[in-house]
Amino acid sequence: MTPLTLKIDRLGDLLAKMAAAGFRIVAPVASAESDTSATAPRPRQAVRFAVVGPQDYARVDLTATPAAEGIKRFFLPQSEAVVRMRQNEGQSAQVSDISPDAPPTIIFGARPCDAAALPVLDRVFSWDSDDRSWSHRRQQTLVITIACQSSDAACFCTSIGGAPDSTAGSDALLVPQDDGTMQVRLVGERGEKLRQFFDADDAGSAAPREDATTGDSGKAGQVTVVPPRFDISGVRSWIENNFDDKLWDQAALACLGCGACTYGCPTCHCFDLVDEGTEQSSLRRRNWDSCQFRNFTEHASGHNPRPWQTQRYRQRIAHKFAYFPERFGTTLCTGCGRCVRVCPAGVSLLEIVGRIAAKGKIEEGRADG
Amino acid sequence: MDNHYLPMMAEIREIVDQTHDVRTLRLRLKSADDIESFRWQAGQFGLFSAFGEGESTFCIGNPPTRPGHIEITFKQAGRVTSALRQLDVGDTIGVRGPYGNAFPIDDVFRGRDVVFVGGGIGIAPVRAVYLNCLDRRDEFGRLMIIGGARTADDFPFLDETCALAGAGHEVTVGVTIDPGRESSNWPHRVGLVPDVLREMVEQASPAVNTAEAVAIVCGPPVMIKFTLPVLHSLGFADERVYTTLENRMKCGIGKCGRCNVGSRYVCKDGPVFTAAELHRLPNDL
Repeated sequence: MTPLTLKIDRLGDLLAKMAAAGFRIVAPVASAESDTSATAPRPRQAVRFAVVGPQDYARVDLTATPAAEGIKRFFLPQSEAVVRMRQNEGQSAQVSDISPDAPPTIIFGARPCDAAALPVLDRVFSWDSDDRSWSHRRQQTLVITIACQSSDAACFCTSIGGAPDSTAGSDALLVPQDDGTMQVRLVGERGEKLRQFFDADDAGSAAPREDATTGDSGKAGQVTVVPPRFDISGVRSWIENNFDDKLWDQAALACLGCGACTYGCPTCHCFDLVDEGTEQSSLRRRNWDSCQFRNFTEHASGHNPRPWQTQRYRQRIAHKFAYFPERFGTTLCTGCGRCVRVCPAGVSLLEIVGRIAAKGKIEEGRADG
Repeated sequence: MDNHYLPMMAEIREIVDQTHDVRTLRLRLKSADDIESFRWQAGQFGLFSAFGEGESTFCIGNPPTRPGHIEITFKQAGRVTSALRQLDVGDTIGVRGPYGNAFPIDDVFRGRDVVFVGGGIGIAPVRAVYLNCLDRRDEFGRLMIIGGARTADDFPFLDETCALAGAGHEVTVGVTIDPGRESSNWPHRVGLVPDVLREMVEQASPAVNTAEAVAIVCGPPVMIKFTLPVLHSLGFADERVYTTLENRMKCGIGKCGRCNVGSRYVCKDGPVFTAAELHRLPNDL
């Protein structure tokens, strides 16, 4: 099949073509304030995914790896009204359904660590019963991912089984080439829907690749190398066997319980349901929540299963690296490193899981010996 | 695809105050379709909403052998329960459910002696099961109900529970309040629930076949903590000691992540768990 290519100076044309085909476009854009200083390096925090129109195409910023905020909100909105309730004087209450507002969408410029979270979260949102809002947004949204050309010390996708050019969760992967073009790899049937938007690579500058799914960065392109940070093999069993270890106290000592790690996380999905309004007129909303908050598990009686930050921090790590894998067969983490970068207290999940991995390795060795 | 968060509408038909802060509401679903489809088993729960305030999780308090309405019993504690207390007969509340697993009455309880232990508001879920068993009295061996509360004024269903013994059900009933909280005219037992349980089981005649019997325990965490070892020492098997967990929930359908204990969703895998299952969970209750 003819290889596809994208000339990056034609990005505006591509996005316009997609918009003309009826898609809402979501892309990483630099926030306005970071544009005021052309000489200063743009801070990573300034790049966020947002709905873009023609006036924004020039602001699309594909340099952040990953962006300060990922694509989660386009599948699980930070706040979403799900039920409307009305009760007029002298009449009985009425409730009405609020359908998810999700037009056909193309997310352009996601990173592999953000896209990889989507099939992970499919498991929780579709086991036992389908979450309508999640499933609908997943169906409506095509994800075009760009392989990472750079990484930083917080990146650890390769330690979780991912890669800077993984196609997991993506419908197309763009691989930057030495000549400034991007090789386009379509993924699966859904990816074929994107073929119409890309040009055939007549110049043949990007050699077609046989295997677009291994995550092997190969020779072609400018894909970064994310070195392995830890060996995950012993992590789950160590967590399962060391619920009361003092490591949890040490790990959580600096944690403020602010929840920034959970909000930034592409796989954290815990939510709250709250009523906003009055007895006469209200909306039931589904809002992001965080297991790091004290009242997350607090019973009406005052009893709290996890009253201390140590317990709440342990819950976050254990959920990601032991409980979720036990339940759904995959790690609830993609190694994006965002939690490490956003933590105002310098708590590093990477460092803590690294310590757990080392301890797990020792215990595995003991078990083998 | 359905919106799982859209509640059914129910009308409050009857309000019964159990104590100064515990109230029972009897509800009737408004839609005939909803009434037809709402089939539950003892142990299951629902999410009940006061519009504009939010939802709370309560067990369905009446057994399936007493259909026609949905009964909830709650203690005024937070925002939603305070709002539910403001409602009158004829007012509307939202209902989602039934959710969760149930007590395995058909699979496990039948043919066995069953001991019920409920403390405080925790008697409400236990009551749904013993009423169910009493309605099917012939299918079980000995039935023993132990209810406890801090004081006589905090004892939901006190009169009803006491009256069960004399109603020709062949059931042993013991009610107790905490030592030091009794008034001179309190005619029943005084003592902590685990102690009363031990005494009643040890003195039962004919004896409770504890090795084969079933026990159901629900109440404050501290009561459960001290009751489980007593059941164990009396010879009850952890596989047949049941409790129902009261974790905070939001979605009720295994998505929101709030009720999780280890890899279990209390809302889907529970709320009914055996003591043996609890021992296998991380100490996160």
